[in-house]
Amino acid sequence: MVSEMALAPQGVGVNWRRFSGLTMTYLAVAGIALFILVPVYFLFILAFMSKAEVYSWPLPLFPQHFTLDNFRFFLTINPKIIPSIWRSIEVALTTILIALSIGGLAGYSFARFRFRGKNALKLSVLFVRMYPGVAVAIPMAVLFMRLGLYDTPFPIALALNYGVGNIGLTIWITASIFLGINEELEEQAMVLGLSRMGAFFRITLPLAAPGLAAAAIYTFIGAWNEVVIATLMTQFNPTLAAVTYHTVAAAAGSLHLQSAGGAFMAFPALIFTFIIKRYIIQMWGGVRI
Amino acid sequence: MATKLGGLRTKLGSYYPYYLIIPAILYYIAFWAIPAASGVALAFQGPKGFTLRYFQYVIRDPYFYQALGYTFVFLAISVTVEFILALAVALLINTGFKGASIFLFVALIPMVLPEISYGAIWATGYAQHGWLNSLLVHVGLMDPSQPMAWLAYGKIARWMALLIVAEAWRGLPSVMIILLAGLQGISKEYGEAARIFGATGFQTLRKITIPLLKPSIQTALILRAIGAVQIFVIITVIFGHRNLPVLVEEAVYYFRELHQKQLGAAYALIIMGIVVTLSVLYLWLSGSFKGEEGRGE
Repeated sequence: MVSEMALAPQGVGVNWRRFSGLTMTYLAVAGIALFILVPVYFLFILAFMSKAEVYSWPLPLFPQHFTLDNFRFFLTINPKIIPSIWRSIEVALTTILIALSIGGLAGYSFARFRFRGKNALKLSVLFVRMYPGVAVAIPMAVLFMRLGLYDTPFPIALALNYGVGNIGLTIWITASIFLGINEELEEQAMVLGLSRMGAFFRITLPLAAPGLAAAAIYTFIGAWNEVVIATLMTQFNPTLAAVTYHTVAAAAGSLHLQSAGGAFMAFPALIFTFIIKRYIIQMWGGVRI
Repeated sequence: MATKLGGLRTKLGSYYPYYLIIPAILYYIAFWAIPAASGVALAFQGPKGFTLRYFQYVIRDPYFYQALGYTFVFLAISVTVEFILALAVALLINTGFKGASIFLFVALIPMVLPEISYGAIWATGYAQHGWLNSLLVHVGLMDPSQPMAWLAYGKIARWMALLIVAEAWRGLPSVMIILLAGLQGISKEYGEAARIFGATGFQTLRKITIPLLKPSIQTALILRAIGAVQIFVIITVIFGHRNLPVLVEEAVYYFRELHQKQLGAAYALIIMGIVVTLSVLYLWLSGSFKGEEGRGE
């Protein structure tokens, strides 16, 4: 700021330039924000509109009659939907358990130790995460068919598959969390008589808890949202994402059904994202995955 | 005290890191490496051993060339469009403004919405009496007696344009955030120095900002390209099944609808080949292959 002022030849010219630059910035921000928000706005108002309004032309910009009928219709159109909600939650929680326990351990190791093969391991984590889902899901489904574990009421195969990608993600997130916690705290605890395990569980873990919770929530959002692998690995016992996908894709022109399905799926993702927005932005800015 | 601790650390240091990593390695082997390898086997294994017949079937299938062509046309145009738009927006926003954190949350929304919500948004938008036409009528850009039939069957070029708009909506924010993070890492002094020496804004952008931003640009482009190769859900929700065939859709179609596991696996391998090429390119360009980087990041 100071250097810019010092460089400015004449105050007036610079002020005008800065003013127009700032105006451009706000116009761009407003334009992009509208481009992002208008479609989301319409998804939600369509979902809450009365059916008469959904099929009026042109659609009202501000609906008058709010109703939950569209959601009721969506939830009852297919008897698989209600059980699939619980199944989605179960799969997501199992994925969190796998990712945090296994990925958290590895993340701690990456953050605290220097060891041979570390770079190769980091590379493999990135590589596995970039590997296309279909190329693992199809053969994995075949393997689990042979084991008689394909499309079970609790889709264990699906949770195990989600585990792979999320372990990688959790390693990266937890490594950066543990790096941010001063190692000397642990060392001091060890000097005072705690074992390394004790120091980890009583000192480091409580400090890392908020970051770990964010990693868990991010995993939840990913598992809740995922469609392609869920479609490949389930048939009669789908997750909510899989069954909603078939419902919405088969409902071309039924705006009330499509919007209700889309909005219903969107709520948890948006609420959780709002809770951990700081972490997600850090992750996208700092951790390259 | 220090020596005691130092001794403890070197002694434990040699084994501990591996103990902690072994579960992850075993998990990767069981649920990633074995399935990935058996996917290769599945695509090449006929009833009498090694066979190329599934790939022969694929290359004789007219849908394959359509799927390959559409996937790559989509990839090339959408990644270019998103990159140029995102760079422009990121440069404007980088000047710093009040409310940046709220704006970043807004920008996150398309990224974290479920793909089905994303599909529902644009399916209801492109419907003839959907929200996009309604909006155009309200702002006076469309005659309400003649709403545009965006999804009229078989207009592939128009469909592709609609798809690229929808995908820009979803992809732009993530490209923008990556570029923004890169821009924030560039010292403002470079730009000031350039200005002192009389560089115009465009010259500064071309000769200074973009070269310094190269790592972020590579990251953003390749990650988006990897995503674009695997486009699928949004297409089927907006345009219906196999009306605009793409590679992942063919893999899912053969595997799930026709129960042709080997053909599904063959398509999956083709997708894998493309994605792995892009991934290795990314890892190579980003310098990840270069030796130990020390502890953590």
